[in-house]
Amino acid sequence: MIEYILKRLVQVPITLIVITAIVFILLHLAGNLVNLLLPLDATAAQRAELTHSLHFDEPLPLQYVRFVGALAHGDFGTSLYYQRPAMAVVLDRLPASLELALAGILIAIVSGIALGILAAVREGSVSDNLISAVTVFGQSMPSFWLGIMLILLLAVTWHLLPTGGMGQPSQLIMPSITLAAFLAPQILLLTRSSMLDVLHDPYITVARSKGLPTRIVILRHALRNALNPVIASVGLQFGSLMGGAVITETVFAWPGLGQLSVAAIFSRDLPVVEASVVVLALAVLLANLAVDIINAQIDPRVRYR
Amino acid sequence: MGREMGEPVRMDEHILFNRLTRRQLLQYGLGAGLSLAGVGLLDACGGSSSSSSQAPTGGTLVFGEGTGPANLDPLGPGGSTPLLGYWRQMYDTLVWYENGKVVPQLATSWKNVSDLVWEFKLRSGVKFHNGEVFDANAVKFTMDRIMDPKQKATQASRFTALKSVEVVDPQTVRMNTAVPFPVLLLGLTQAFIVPPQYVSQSPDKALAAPVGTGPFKFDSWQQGAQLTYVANTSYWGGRPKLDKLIFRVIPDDAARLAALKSGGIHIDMNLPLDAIDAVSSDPNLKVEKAFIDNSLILEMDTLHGGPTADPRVRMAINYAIDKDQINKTLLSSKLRPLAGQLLTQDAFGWNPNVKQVPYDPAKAKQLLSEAGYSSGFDTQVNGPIGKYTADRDIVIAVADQLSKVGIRAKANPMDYGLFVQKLTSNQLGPMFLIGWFSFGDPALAEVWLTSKSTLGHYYADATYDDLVAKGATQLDQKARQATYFQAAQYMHDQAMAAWLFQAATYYGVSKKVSGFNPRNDELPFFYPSAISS
Repeated sequence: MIEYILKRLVQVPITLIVITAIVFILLHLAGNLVNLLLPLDATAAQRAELTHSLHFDEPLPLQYVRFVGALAHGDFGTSLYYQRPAMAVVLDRLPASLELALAGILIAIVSGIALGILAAVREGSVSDNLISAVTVFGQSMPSFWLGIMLILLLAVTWHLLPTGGMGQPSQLIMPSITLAAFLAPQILLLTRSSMLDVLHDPYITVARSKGLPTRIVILRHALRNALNPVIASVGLQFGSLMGGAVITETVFAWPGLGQLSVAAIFSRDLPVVEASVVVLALAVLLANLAVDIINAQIDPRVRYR
Repeated sequence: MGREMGEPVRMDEHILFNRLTRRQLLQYGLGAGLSLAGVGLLDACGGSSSSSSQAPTGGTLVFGEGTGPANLDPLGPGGSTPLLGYWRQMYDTLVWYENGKVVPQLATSWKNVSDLVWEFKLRSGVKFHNGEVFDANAVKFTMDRIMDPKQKATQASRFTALKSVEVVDPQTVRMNTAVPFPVLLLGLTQAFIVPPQYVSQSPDKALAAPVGTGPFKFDSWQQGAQLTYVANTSYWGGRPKLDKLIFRVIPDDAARLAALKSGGIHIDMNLPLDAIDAVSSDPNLKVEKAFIDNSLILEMDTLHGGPTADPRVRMAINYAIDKDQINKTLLSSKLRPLAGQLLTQDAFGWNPNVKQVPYDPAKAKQLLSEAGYSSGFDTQVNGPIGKYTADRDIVIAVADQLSKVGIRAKANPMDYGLFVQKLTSNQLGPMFLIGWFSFGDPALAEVWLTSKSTLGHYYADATYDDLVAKGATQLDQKARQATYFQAAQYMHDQAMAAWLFQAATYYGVSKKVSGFNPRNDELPFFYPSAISS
């Protein structure tokens, strides 16, 4: 097991290097940023000074070596907007994004798995069809639209919840539901189909024929085997939720990483963009790693692949 | 992206481009506080009479806007202060603009000892929120800090001619300028006086918990979320009516509007044009607006040959554009046409005798044929996308209207990055849409169309250059105004550009709020504001 984890950990830095190289190249393809960073009436001397201080006057390969060298020391440079170390700016916003992603994923898991089991057990019934319909609806709804609708209904019309912001538990409800609405249908469908597969397996028939109560058969025997693909899917989603919550964070004025990185892109704050991409990439990698470890734990077959 | 990056601020940077999206309006709110002849509307500021003494006391007012500050340094780099309003609540300045007049704040009186020396008498008995005493040292410390290049203070560009500051006695300070500097007072409305001991002895603490002499005290800050102030009950001008004031960040326009409707915020800064009617029809809300110091013009290339080198063609283009129609159909009549000149109506030096060029296609055609273009010519109208209110639509509409008088114009809206690149390398001719921010006074306007401009060269005229240079150093306001009147008339006659629109900022305001008066410098100041339950 430990050997398996170590093997996976070795891949993390390699992936990170590839990702940072791509980010670096893309950002430097975006044209002469100095023109965009400086006011229009900046002097030639100011342009030259900024070009030099950002090392834009050096050949691209040298700039990349410099960039990677600094990265190795955890130095992403100083944010051009916040005038603080870029990584510190990004890490300040990380807890908010984590909180939102965890809350969203929790709601998605609980509702997705529960409804998925229900749909599988009552395959073809009215409730199964109803759940399928809601699933299609949830998955096809753009999150900015759902977010605004929730705000209009729960905050503007009924005054039940605040429209946005962060700090009180009530402010977490709408954004996490919005996030979950996108994720839950996938979990639900996966749970349903994977449960259906398992429920037709002979060992379930055996369990039933031994006279075990249905609840035990489903939760202990069927679910455990059905969960593998679900966990894999959740893990993959978690990483993208961290960065993919951009729209949700913007609509609900949630001061997280997504909102920060969009603002940084608009203001051409390169160090912050780079730092956020690395943090998000790391989140995706670690989430995937965690999924693999959990999967290996649950399903011994995985370990020996 | 202009100023939002905290880049080194050029010392003579005065007039900036401005796009009219929320972000940019906020960031150029920097230019705020500067309207000599503005419709400055505060009714209860230092020493002036208060008209709302019956307004209720207490309560919390929440102001919704799109960005929030980058840090808490009131004298920080450009990018750190997207909205001067963040600081104005906590800090005082020596003087302030109100109803178009300079009014005393921490300075009680001032005079010119000579053309190059200004003397200020300071208010006594004023203390910073931490108890530190305000005196001439604080003024010198603040001004030195602004002028220190290492500080990269946004405000540095307002004090280009300031040479030094000397303490005469604890209540008297002198400012020495290199040349006669008529806009010193204008600049001082942005110089937030900081406590010297606190800032120099514990700089980290000063950044985490800023301290001023203003009507509100810093309470807390959650970056990207909200900035909270509480009333300074021992304010030298009397305590503010509000107990608490919150600047809340809501980046999304629709979400901010929803927050306004639900009562989560009381004021929504920068209502999008299409949301204005929805707010005004809500029984609990009202719309407030201020036309701001921002001019949208169609600048023309006069230096690189082609039809627009001929003033008759430029005048024809002025006649060919139906400003009123574009405003009505494209902009829901929410902006207003410029009065045939670059300056906006509330700015110092705006010439009331220069009028909007009327829509007259017949006259346009006549001028074109006089210039030898009776069968028109092929051209293109350039402009940025997403920089100014409805910029792309305006470019298309202008091209369409030009084609009606025979000028076969192709609309060519482009990405802002490309726009800047072309602008500075003189490639935007024959004509392009651009917005100028005046800070309410053209004294700092060297960059506008003068031959000293670093924004590409499309125009060069010695008469105009001289007028601008003359106005910048005239201490006698009457004489200075006359100079700018002359310049406005000259620009109009030369048709240096086609004068299009003055931009406006719209606010959605809860009817519970009183004493909120939008200014043409976009600087919100909540000392006079109150809220009813």
